Amino acid sequence: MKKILCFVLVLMLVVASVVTLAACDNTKTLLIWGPGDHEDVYLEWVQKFMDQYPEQFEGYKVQFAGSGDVGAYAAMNVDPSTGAAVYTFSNDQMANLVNLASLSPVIGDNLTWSEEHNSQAAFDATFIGDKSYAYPCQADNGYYMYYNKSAFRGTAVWDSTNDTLKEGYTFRDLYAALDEKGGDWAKGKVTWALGDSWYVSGVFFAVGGDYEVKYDEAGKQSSADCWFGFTLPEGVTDNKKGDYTVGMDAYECLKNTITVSNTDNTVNSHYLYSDGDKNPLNDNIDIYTNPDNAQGKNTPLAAAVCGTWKAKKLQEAWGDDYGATVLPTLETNDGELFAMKNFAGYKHIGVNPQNEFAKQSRENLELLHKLAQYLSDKEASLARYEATGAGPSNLEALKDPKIAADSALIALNAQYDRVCKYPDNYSKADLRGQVIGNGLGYRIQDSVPANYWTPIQKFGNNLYIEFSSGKLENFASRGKIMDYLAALQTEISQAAQ
Amino acid sequence: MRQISSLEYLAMSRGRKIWYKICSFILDIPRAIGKFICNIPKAIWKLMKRIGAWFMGVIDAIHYGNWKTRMSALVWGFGCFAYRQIARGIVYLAYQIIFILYIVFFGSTYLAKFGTLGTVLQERDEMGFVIVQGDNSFEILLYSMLTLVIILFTAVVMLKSIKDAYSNQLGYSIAERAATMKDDAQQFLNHKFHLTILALPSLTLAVFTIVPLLFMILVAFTNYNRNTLPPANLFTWVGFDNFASILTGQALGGTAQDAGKWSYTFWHLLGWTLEWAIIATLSNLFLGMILALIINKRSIKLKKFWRTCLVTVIAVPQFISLLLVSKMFRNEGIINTLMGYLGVAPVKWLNDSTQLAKIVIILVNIWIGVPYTVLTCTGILMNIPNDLYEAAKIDGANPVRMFGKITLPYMMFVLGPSLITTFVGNINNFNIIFLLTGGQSGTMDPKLAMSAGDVDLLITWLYKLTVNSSQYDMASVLGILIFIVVAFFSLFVYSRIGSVKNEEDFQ
Repeated sequence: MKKILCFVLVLMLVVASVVTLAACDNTKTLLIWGPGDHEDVYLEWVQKFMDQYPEQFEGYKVQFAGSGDVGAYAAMNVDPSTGAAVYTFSNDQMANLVNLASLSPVIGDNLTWSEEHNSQAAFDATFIGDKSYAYPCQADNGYYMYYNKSAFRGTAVWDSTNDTLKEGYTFRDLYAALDEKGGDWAKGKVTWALGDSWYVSGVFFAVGGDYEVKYDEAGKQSSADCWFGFTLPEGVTDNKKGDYTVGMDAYECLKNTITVSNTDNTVNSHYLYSDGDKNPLNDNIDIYTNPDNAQGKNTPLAAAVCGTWKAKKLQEAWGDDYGATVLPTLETNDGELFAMKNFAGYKHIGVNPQNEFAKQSRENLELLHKLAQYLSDKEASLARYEATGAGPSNLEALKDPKIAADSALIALNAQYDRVCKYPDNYSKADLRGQVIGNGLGYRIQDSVPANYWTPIQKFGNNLYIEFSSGKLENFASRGKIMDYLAALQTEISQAAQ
Repeated sequence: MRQISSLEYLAMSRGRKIWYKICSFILDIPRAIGKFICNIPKAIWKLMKRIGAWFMGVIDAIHYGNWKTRMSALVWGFGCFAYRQIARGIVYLAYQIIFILYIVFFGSTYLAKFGTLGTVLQERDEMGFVIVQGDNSFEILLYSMLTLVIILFTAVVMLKSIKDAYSNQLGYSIAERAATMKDDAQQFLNHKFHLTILALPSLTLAVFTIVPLLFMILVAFTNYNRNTLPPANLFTWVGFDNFASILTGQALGGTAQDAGKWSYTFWHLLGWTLEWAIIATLSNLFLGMILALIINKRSIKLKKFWRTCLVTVIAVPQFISLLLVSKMFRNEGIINTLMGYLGVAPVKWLNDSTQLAKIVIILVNIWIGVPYTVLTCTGILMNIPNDLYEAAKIDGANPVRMFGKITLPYMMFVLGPSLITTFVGNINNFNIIFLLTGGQSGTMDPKLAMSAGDVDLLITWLYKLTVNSSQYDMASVLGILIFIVVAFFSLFVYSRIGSVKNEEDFQ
């Protein structure tokens, strides 16, 4: 009896597993990846496109997954054929995706179309070497300054004719204005995320730092050069200080932003920094703008360096007092001023030639290119803007009156157009024989050295932790700072594979 | 240390006795480790002998068998057909045919490339359209390994076919009739019933556990990482390069980058992992024990209430409590806010200094882990026969002596094996480290490689390596090394604890 029971149980196990296998769905899916909060827009527009080509997409169903999820890129790394057919990505991911051969090059008529319909900077950012690999879709991946007008109105930093912050304001000006304003604002906070390498990079670019990555044909990094630390570019000699390093200026600017007192190692009480939390800025903005919250009441947020994705939240929180403008000017101990730059990223839409649908025929691959164009075109861009506030790169969409009047996008574009020259007394301005980068308020985040983000993040984090605790280790003396910066530069450059 | 006789030991003073015990325990450790390691080859030898005995049977069969038996080495099941075991013969023959077809049409194509893991790169046109699929190193590695496993299994089947034929030959000469299909079926329901029942579980174990495990081990000997991801790229064998760079900081063939950093990170994190596992395990054990003793005291009121309080911690899923606690310990978290109301300056619990973060992690772990120990200990305490204590009381033993001579031995006897699981669980305690800190606190050490943080355990580093940076080769090496560490500690401690050595003592 026992044996029969045993046997029946095992049999049930077998039947159960067979049934489960048989129950697997056989519908073919066209997988699309986009930003998680854009799901509805993507589903709608991809479906519209598929309806135009019923024959080619017969039997296919559209499926969406958020590309912000770590899992999405991990899936692409494990097996690109299971990756999305068409997907959005930020342009710093591009080199890795080209290495995986997961991006189909944009050529011929497609390339012409892409150039005609998008802003030049966004179009340029789709290139690795002389090949373009995607269609630009969002040009809003940059940061600028949000501020609460009521915190600064009537103070020394206020430009009352334009009802905005004065041009060329510094962090010191903001802190002073809050003290001057008094009341609740005496405890007001100004924030930008020092623990986030993306934001810290803006300071390095502001003082003349730069990097250069070269790729071989397969998209593998063949060399990475970085000028943040000790070594000067070839053929450049400094005539002012024997041990000149752009990193030293960046360090001085950062230290100044944190302390502003210049004398001791204390952190200015207006400066808000939060490390250890996954998304320091995102979390804190909600905490510090909400008057129902103890922190929002006692230490309200007065200004924040952030990007478009917080525009809606802040607009709701601040109402009519909501304002956005270009980034502040940074200063060193010696009184040198640098206009802070923006590390401009883009989101592109690419086609994955390794995807099962694309692999079937060349026609399918070309059809997917059409889909990518469709998703980056005017109508879809406007729909995305309506739904999420995403700033398009499509020229016609940019002319739309609603987008043209969006103060966050105006601030971002002002930051892009801002002329960032070095001060007249700055003897290092022509160190590399030219004004660094384009002389404007941004450095395109085209392709970043493979080992870029972590060292910079460590630098920002260490800086703040050591200053706030008063225990200076890496930054105790000029020599130590130099060593640290040299190591930082080596680490970024070393990553050449 | 000199061995002393029991008489000398008894003559010692109380303090000296304790000192002697501690010394002899510590001095015994190297000998015990040595003995443990010496026993490993013995165990392997024993296993080999048993396998060897099985093969000897096959050699016997070929040597003493007639032409029919020998023929079954070429045509499997021949020996069965010859003795009118048609059904069994068909099964053997069918297996042979399927196996040959599999090898010819599938297995050999992969196996041929096993040595190089592929040489043909994917070819694409100017639009990226795939013209030539090229070799896929990942698939070659996977299917070759699968084929090897199948070949090994088939070899066993083949030898079994020869042995069967031989036993038929022997049996036929005695009974003039070989076992029929019906006999076989009967056997599988009677004295071979264990095979019938275990066939499916063993098969699933092999397919879902052993094969992937073998595959992961093989990955450790390749350069499968973010630069060589298939199908657009090929990866290949690098031998012990990865092990060399992670253990010694010197790459053998010079393929691995930043070898020094890898080894620095590994030893650094291994140190903290062991430190953490030991402190976390012992703190939970002793605090849990003390708490259980207190609750179990007769004078304590509301025993059930206290136990319920502790069980509540277990009832809430661990990761939920941990996420909550990590929010509480944030710079703007509730603990700092409350401290602010009391006029105490806020403390950056988890991101000021590494040491402070480590202390907080261990404290939180005590809060999470102690209830488990308390529950186990309570169960044991309630099971200690009361007459032991009564007898001790009559003999005039004081409470400390009763604890030392009755309670503690009893508890350690039962807790011994569970201590190992706790220790191993702590070495691989992903949840508490990752959810509480993300592996990073305080000043970042620029010498740590590949996104490792200062409070990362090896296991959380492994997670980061696979999910965030696609360094599968190094992650696999790390997995093997973690296994070695865990296996060593578990086997060593397991072979030494009382509950295994004196199994019969406990009644």
